[in-house]
Amino acid sequence: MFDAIVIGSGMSGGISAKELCERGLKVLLLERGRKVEHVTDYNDTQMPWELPNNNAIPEEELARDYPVQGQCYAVNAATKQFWVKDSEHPYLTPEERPFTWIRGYHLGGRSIMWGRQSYRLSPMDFEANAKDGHGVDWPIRYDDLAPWYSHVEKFIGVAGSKENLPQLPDGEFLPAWEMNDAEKLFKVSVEQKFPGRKVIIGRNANLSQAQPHHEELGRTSCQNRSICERGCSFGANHSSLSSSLPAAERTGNLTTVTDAIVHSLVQDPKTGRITSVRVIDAKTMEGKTYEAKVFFLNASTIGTAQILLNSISEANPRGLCNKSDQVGRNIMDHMYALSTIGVMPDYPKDSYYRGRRPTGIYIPRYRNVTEEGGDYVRGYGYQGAVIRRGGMPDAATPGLGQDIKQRGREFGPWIAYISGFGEMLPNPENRMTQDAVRKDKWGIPLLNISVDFSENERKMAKQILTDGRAMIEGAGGMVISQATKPGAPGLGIHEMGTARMGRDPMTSVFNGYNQAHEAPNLFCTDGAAMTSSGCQNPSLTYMALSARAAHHAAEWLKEGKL
Amino acid sequence: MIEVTDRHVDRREALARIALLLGATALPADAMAKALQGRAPSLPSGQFALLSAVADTVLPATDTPGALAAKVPQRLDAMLAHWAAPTTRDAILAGLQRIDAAARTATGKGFAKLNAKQRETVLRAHDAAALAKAGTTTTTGKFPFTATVAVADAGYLQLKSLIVDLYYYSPEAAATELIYEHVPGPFEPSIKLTAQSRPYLGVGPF
Repeated sequence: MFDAIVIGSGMSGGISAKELCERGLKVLLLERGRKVEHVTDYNDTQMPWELPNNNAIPEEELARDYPVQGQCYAVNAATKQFWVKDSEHPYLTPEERPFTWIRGYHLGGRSIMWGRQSYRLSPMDFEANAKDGHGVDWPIRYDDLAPWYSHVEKFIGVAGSKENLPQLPDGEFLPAWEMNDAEKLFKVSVEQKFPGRKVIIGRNANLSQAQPHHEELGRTSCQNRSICERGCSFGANHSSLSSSLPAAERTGNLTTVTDAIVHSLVQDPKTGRITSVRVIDAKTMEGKTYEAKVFFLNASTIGTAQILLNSISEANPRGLCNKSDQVGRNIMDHMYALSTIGVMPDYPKDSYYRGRRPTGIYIPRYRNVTEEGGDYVRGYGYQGAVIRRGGMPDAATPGLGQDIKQRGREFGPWIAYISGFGEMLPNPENRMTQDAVRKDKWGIPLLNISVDFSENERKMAKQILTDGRAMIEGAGGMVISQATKPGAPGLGIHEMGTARMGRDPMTSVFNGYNQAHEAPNLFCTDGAAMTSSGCQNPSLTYMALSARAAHHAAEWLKEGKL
Repeated sequence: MIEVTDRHVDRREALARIALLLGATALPADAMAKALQGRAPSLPSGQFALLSAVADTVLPATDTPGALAAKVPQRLDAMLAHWAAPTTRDAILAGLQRIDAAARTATGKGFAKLNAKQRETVLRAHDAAALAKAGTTTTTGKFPFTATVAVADAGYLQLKSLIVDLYYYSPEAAATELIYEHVPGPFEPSIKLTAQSRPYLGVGPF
């Protein structure tokens, strides 16, 4: 029997396992996908011309096996191994309310391919639901999580600049990456034209300067390759494989089992305690049961809710911990791909930069902070960059031979692009349910995921584009391309909210310690637990919640309370 | 894990290999070309000769190596065999065939049979007509810069795009036309351009 079982080895599960192991608990980590080895399984050493088909996935294979995953920017031949085959892992989604479910089933999960942007939620984010009445109130406030943000930032390594902004609290930062000359100009122009708005360098979980505690784990400083999503042999970005799992393993307390698909959790109807987890071996189909004193759900937002919904018993006919009927509801993502692109004709023509910086610029939220939001609540931030993309000449321009080569050698104008990330409100109708008939090959019901934007999001999307144009133009640019609507929900890959934290067991699933209202030894610290979404990239918050919940779970276990 | 087309890379040596690349300005040997040598093209010989002649005309050797030195015909042939869906392959090959037809109309001879100067004359005229804008350009949200340009001869554009892409993503072009650094090291946010400066070849989203 283990002290704790952590279900899922990705972004949040890695931290849960590490924190529990470091507190002396014997931990079993279950991963539904295959084992992946740090460094040896990465495709980051190949030169571009060594990748098959110029790094493209064969068209028929892409259409057959990756129709959903293929919509993600990071899917290519070099990263193909880290995305599920949609053909092997089907789900259902209505045509008029489609959800794009981007995922990877392997040790480390999406922590290998993530975008690494790392931002804290702010006091106003934790108060938002209570203030405007959407969803339910968070059971915690910023101050509850602040020390755990610090704890996680130090461990994973987050590069960033101190900005002293109430809507985007500073953290424990490694030295920030620098802006290039065009970005510095863009910053000055936007901040002058739009008082209250800020253009800052993106905060990212790449080691700008590895610290001794990173080097102890075999991690080294970032080499500015920007092929992070292939897995980094330098261990320069935080992933479960480079960082949290090695830290867990060195305690001697970690046991990892891969190819272990969690079917359901078993609850003792008398005590409410979870007694065991039922697992199916992905390869042999063999069923197994593991017991522990404490269970952590870190199977990802959709995966965690799926386990709860599939844990049906006489006492729990609609799934475990679901008296509130909130399991599987309130799916949120961030509105994504609301991009505006402009050329900056007057930006410095004699300036360039060297290296592929693994972050961009960030414009923190200002709507309903320093500027009114008009007819919608909440707000949005922008990620982007100002780059000078010389090099590869455009084949669509007529010309041959020396014309093409000459164009390739020329330095073009600076290009600015900013892409909005808009907050989605919790809406119980955005939900996932288990199909009554169809099952996957392990006998688990297929999911039906149905999500759409609401009026608030549609209004916000419009403003994101209007503001995007105004800022590019205000900074001296000419807009050459602009999105017209956000990508389908899910494409932001920030899905969250399916088993939210809250104060009231009748309207929420987990309490302020990420502990299930209906099962005292069950915790959930992945995106499922999120009560609202903010507009910041959420992984850092999942990790902070994981560390905090692991701390309390370990304490309570020691005190005999669990 | 990807099987590298050229040889089996020992993954345990991956870190050592990166260490070698650190600070290295010279690019490693053209392993891909080695692998391609001696491998028969998948296209029939006439079509492969036509493809080679077109690639050589789109990007001839000048003061820098051209498409032939960068093994563009062989690599494109491999992509037609292993990457392209039948409709894509047919569209690209039809685009290729129209160049040959243009040569026959203009000179009475197939494109591959022409000398370099004649090829250039034929392809220049064909290129201008084929790339005439037709309809609207669409962009996708996948990358900020992913645009599908609508032109008169879409098959030709796809062919030319692959020739250009494969050329620039080659050790030969990366050593002469642009600069590709696999491991750039420290980020330098501000570099003064000089007449000798060459753009960096991008890879990945940034």
